[in-house]
Amino acid sequence: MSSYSIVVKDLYKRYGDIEALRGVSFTVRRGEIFGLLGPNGAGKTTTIHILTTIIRPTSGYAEVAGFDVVKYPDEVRKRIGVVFQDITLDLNLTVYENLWLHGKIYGIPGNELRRRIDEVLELIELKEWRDKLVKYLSGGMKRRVEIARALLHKPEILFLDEPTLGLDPNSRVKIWNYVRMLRKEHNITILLTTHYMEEAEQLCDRIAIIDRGKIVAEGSPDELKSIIGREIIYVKFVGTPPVPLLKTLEHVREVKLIEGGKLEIVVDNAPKALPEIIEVFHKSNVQIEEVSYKRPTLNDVFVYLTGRELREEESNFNEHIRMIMRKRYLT
Amino acid sequence: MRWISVIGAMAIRQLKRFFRARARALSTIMMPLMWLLLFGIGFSTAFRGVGFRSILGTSYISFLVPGIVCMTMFVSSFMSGISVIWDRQFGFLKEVLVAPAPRTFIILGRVLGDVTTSLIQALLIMVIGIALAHSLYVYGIPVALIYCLLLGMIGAGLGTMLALSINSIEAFQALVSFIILPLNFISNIFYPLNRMPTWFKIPALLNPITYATDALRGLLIHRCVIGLGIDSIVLIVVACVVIVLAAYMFRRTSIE
Repeated sequence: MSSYSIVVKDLYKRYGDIEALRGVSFTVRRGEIFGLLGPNGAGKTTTIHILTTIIRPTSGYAEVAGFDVVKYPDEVRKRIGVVFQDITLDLNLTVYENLWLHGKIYGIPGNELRRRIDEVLELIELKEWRDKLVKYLSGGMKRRVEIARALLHKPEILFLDEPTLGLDPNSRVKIWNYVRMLRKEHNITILLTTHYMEEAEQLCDRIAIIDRGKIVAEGSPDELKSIIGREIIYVKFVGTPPVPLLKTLEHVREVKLIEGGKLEIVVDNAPKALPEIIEVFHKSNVQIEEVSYKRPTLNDVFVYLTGRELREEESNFNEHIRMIMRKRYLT
Repeated sequence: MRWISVIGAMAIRQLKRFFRARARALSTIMMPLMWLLLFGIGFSTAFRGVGFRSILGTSYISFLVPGIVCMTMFVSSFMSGISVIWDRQFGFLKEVLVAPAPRTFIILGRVLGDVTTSLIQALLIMVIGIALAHSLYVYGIPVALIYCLLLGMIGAGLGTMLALSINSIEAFQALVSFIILPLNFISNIFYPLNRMPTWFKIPALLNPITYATDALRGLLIHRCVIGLGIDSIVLIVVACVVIVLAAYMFRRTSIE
């Protein structure tokens, strides 16, 4: 067994004149939570659709659970669970019936199916809702049912396309907890896409940043942040600051006096630099009143790599429109 | 044996959806009922007399009942193709496309479920028709339902093919009236085949509804013009071809 659950090499997808993917490559290790982070229209959903075998790439290679997605789509389909961005439940069936139908289509035998439905309903805490028509469920509940359904056939790999898009903070945290638990207790590999950087940062072991159909960086959140290579420490003090001494420290890059009697110290490794800085102040007998420290966010990383914000006005607008459309369909 | 479970589950899903949308079920049965009650009773009272009887071999209402049953069967199963478009718009199609089950079984299950709901409606119309006409041979009903089933497969297959090729609810509904109305009138539903001029007979004989209606008349009023043998062969062959084509189209469908 390969140690990679997903291998993507140089994937291209063209829709007429539009190139949705322009050479996407990344690998997902077995058992990790991997995030595709990028703005709307970056190619996240297209990538998910190719990996889940419902569209074909124009060129390139993708392997999921050890099988080529173009040559052996059925082998891939058996081993994956998918939660698409838009709801794909049958709204006119009950929660139980949706799960039952899924189980039958995936060939789970009757007794086993009933047991597993109880299990997944327990997991997503919707047992009392099992006989309600799905159309009467809230957006967050529908998403939870979809997660339950995707888990019913015990997939090796779970795909989640924008799992918390448009959900309230409570539902969002619930879904994050399920995702963490799945990885921990069931050892499922999870590939999720998101344009929320908190989500990527909170959940993912590793992240690939995607922009305009290309992966611009891949690594753990910390690794990605270190691409920028600088963090900022603010020190509020009483007296004369030991600026020359500070500048001699190994990790310090820049020292600047700013408003409010504060020193702005640019460092390349804050955890290592901080104790040294405090020691210098201590030795120089300058009293420190306050220390604060700004880590670069994934948004800073995105700006650094692409020159644009992860969430632009335009994308917020698009998202707004999408939410309206979605509400129309769902209610 | 897995395929039985897939086909069965999809068929049950279609049935559940049908029975939950009672308003829709009622509206699909209303149209043939109107034809039977308003048109049928109106016509049969207007065209009474020995001349008509000798042409039709029975009263007009008795002549019409098998035709309206076939109409119910065809229209209702053809319209059920629209659910493919609903599934695409509401996302459920993706759930099916990403499943490892062969798509041929998925589509067979859908068709089977839709045909069953149409059969229930056709049976209802048949019972009402028999009550109205009271000169029909009731023992012909079981075999008549088999012909209805074949016609339903053709209707559901064609409806699914249309739905898969246009993907828009509005376009489907607009096209339905363009397709259904001529298909109903260029057939033997309302008038006897043996009195048609040749230029009308040829398109009528290209219409599968004609063969089903002919078979049902043979069974219910003992007035077969084409003959049950040919009716059976034509309906079975057309049903198989249509289902194979619909399955082929569904296998190739994607969300692009």
